[in-house]
Amino acid sequence: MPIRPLPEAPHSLHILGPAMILVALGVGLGETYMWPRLVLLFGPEIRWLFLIGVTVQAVVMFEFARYAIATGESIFFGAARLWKPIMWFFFAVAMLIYIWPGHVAAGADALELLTGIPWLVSAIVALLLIGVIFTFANVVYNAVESILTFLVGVMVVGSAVVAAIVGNFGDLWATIAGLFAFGYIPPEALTAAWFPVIVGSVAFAGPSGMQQMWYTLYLRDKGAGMGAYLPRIRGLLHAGEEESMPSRGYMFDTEDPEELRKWKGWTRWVLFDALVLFWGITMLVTIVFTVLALQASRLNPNVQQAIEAGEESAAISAMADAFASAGGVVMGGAFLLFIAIVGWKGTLGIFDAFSRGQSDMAYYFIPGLRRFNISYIYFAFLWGVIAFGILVLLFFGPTDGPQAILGVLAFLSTFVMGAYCVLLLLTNNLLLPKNIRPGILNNAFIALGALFYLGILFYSLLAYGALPD
Amino acid sequence: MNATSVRLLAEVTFPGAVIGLGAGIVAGGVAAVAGLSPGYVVLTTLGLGLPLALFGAGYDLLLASGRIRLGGVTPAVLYWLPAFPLSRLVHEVLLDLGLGRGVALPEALLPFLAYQAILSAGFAIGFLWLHEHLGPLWWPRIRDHNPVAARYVSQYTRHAAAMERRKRERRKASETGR
Repeated sequence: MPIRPLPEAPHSLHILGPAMILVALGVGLGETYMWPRLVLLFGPEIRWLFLIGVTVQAVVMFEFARYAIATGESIFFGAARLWKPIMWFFFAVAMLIYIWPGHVAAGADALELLTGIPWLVSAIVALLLIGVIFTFANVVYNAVESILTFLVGVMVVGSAVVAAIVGNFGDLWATIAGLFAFGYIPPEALTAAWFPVIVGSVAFAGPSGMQQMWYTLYLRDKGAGMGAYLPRIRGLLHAGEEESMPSRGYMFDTEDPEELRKWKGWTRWVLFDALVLFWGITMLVTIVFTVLALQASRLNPNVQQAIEAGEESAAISAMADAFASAGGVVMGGAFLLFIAIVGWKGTLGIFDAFSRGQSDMAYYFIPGLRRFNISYIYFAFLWGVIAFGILVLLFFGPTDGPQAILGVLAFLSTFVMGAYCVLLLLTNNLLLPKNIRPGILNNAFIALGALFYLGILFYSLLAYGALPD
Repeated sequence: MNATSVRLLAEVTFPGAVIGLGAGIVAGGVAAVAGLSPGYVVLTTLGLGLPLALFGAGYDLLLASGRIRLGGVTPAVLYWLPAFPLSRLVHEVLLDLGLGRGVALPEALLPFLAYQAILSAGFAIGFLWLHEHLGPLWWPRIRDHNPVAARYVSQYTRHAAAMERRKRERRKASETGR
């Protein structure tokens, strides 16, 4: 890689940064629906698994940032440097996992329960809206950041206020204590019916699947570290203004003490993002939603039976009823509203990130595509996935239920998370200069992550013959 | 205090007050969607929204006086640590008054306050998050006549210009060296 000076890290620990996008992507159905549901079934002690999941994710985030800031390259480019088939593996997995409009369908389902608007109509309108917003935006990153951060801001403030009204200290204490009940697995969780659900929920703790990998693309677009040398993705109507994309990333002189000082500044910046914004906010939102779930469970034990016996697609409705019985109907409505918001936000963020990742890999590694502007390739993927999403919704219809789509996503998500932990160990220890490689503790955490994700996935397959749900 | 100073003050405190009131509207809106009585909806919207709006304005005053820095997480969390529980206490009292139940502080006041204090961290981060979003849209509109807003804009602009300049220089260096 060519050597260039490392830019100076931002001086102030400013709250606005790419981590906000990751948080906005990460705080989704896992935090607001899947984990509260597990708490209703198995008690708050089951949340120790969530603590491990989110903590591993925070370290993973930090390590992805290490590669992106040091090189200005996406992690996909790093995978290609190791061995191109690894990168094509992630390209193919993304095509399998992220073309499904699962999040928006689940959100539209909740909206239908709340307002009566048919889910198919609102889901299709929501998908088209995503395409229109990005097409007309000047710089796509700015549009994504604005929309997602506004929605998450409203959700964080709203959930804090609503929980303040209906929750209580005892439930909060039980929730926090539950995070540290390491090793707690109730016998009923170790069954073919429920263990796959736990595996799926672990994959949905924090950013699931490839969202962490896409974070490296946001860092590049934000101009973090060596990403300052690479151009940004522009909206379709402004794509002509884009500067040409260089053929590779850059490296700084890791023997120069002055450059290493600047590097330390960047690692501090990312650490703040990973710990305060990502770990803190993700924890907070789930704690709030778990408090609400506990309240519901205590006041209405029938809900638990309904969830155990009922169809999965009925679970959202049952939980809304549970919340309604806990905090008056206020909570039932609030729950459905939040699910609708996170559903749309999830698809918006995922479709954008998917198109970034695929266009990044296609631009660099599919012969002949470099004569096109990368923004055009991005929009080909974006509108392609939107069109496909609409066809899927029309084809599956409301009877086949959106939850079926989420199940497929959760399985592949777990696998890809184990795989990227292995990839991170290789890129950061083989491709980066010695002075800026991860320490033994971070490496141990990432290795633990690989064992954690792949271990529970294959245990589920071998012991129960069941895929994650 | 003359009319101009009142106007300047109102402008400076606008983002914080709007977010505080907005939080009350979210709570009231959820109550309305869920079909609670109009009295409950109004009391929740205003009873919680107004105290939060006042404290939100107070945050902006501290910001204007330079006692806390733009975008700082810790100062926001510390500020809302007492402010959020107090707002909730006012809300509970107003609900009791408004619904004719006779004022009774929540049972087990200390656990109530402790619970609200813990949740205040979440509210503070969400508040700051939205404030950092709304502020940069609002300050440029009033900077011509409002010196505090002009100061914020210059802070943001200096930061953005430094980032832009740095990026241009780096790109130039990379182009000449490629």
